[in-house]
Amino acid sequence: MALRDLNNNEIENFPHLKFSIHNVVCSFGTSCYLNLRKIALNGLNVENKGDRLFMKLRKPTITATIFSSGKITCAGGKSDDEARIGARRVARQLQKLGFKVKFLDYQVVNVMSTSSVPFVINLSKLAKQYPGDCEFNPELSPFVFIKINSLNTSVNVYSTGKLTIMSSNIDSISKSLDYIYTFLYQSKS
Amino acid sequence: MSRSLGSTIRCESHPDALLIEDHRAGDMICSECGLVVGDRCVDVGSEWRTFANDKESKDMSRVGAAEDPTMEGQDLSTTIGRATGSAGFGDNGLPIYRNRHTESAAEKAKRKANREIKEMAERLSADQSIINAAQHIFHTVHKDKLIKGRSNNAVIAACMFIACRQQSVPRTFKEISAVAHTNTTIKDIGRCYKIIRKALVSSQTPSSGISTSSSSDLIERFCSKLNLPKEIKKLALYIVGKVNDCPDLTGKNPNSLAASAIFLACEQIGSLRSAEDIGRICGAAENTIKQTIKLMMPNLAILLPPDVTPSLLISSRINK
Repeated sequence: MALRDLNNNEIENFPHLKFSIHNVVCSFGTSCYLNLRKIALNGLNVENKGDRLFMKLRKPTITATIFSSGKITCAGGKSDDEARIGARRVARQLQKLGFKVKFLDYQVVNVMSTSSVPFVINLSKLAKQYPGDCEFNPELSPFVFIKINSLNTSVNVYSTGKLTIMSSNIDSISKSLDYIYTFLYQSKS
Repeated sequence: MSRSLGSTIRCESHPDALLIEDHRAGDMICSECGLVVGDRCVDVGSEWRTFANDKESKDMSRVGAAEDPTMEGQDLSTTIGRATGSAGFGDNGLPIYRNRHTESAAEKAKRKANREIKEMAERLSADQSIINAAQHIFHTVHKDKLIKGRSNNAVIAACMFIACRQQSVPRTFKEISAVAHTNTTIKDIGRCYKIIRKALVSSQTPSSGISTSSSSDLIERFCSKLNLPKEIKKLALYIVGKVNDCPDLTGKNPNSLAASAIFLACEQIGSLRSAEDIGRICGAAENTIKQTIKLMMPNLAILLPPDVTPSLLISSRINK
């Protein structure tokens, strides 16, 4: 894919942007109702918040939110493998407590990652030029919020060049970075 | 003179002539020969008779005010007026006939919101067009139930914010939050603003014109509040226009940029204003202004117009 800047010259050294994943949030269902009181009293590292419980694992560092309907959300995984392992460990703990737990509908809900672009960006220029869903409210927040609907991703672009990418799956992160790089380069200051 | 139903009135000798209507006599007169063709024309204008107990209003029309689109037919109904005279009150001193309270929750909320908007506009010294725009936005948003869970105060404040922007007299979030109901934080207003803006952009044409805020709109207002002369305002506007070329200053709050531009302009021209005074009017803290000026210092060559030499007072004032 050839990148072109505003004068239609090809940009050499189109860097493949590296990104690091900070948080993977996933959810799954056990197909049985869970007795939150029993889990809170007998489970390990469990915190009670009324209608839900927080179960924290140490390895991998995962916080699971357990609802009495059997739906469980696991947050804090640093990669999709970690998230899956953490989710299965939570399910195993519940199984040991005596519930007839199944591991159903596992799905990665949200992936938060950061990346950076090696140049300073002129945010107001970017906000004007970007052809798509883009919001810039300097009074409220110092970044440009770009939403890429086709890839189900949103990116926060800071003027220092740092990017925060939130997407629903890991594959779309690099695609969205490739997509917005042109626009970021064109708004280089 | 008998006429068949459906035949238009016209002069017999001049069938194509225009007929002139004489309001006073109620006649239709042929413009060619002056023949009175139709009589007893009904005047569809407003009632012009006056009565003895009519209030002395200049407009003698009895048609009533224009229909308010935000009320959705509410203003077409009539209500029982307040009792005057002794016949209106019963034995216990209370009025005999009272209005029944038939008002749905939505209408109550809308009425309350309209009142809030008017009060806010008074505090902001915003005029009637902004009030109408804000009420219209609230009506649109409330009708479509877009902001179901949000607190009404934040929604009203956001409507006010958008209305001011649309009428090209933008007010900053800080100003709106200061003038809104208590405990309405800028964060709440910002959240509601984002939701409402999305909805308005999708439902209306792009000519509703909600663009990003810029410091130049604010400088006019702040300069006049501070009673600063024209040269300072002109210089400040120039500085703020050039801010986009400075990479250090992107993403800064437009309030603080405007405040620092004014401070810089004041220093240049020599009229001394403390950062505190400027900050209080602009809604920026004194330290914020100093920090922003420190970022502006290395870029003075870009920011100031080419024929102006930077004054050396600035550095001493900042480091005090």
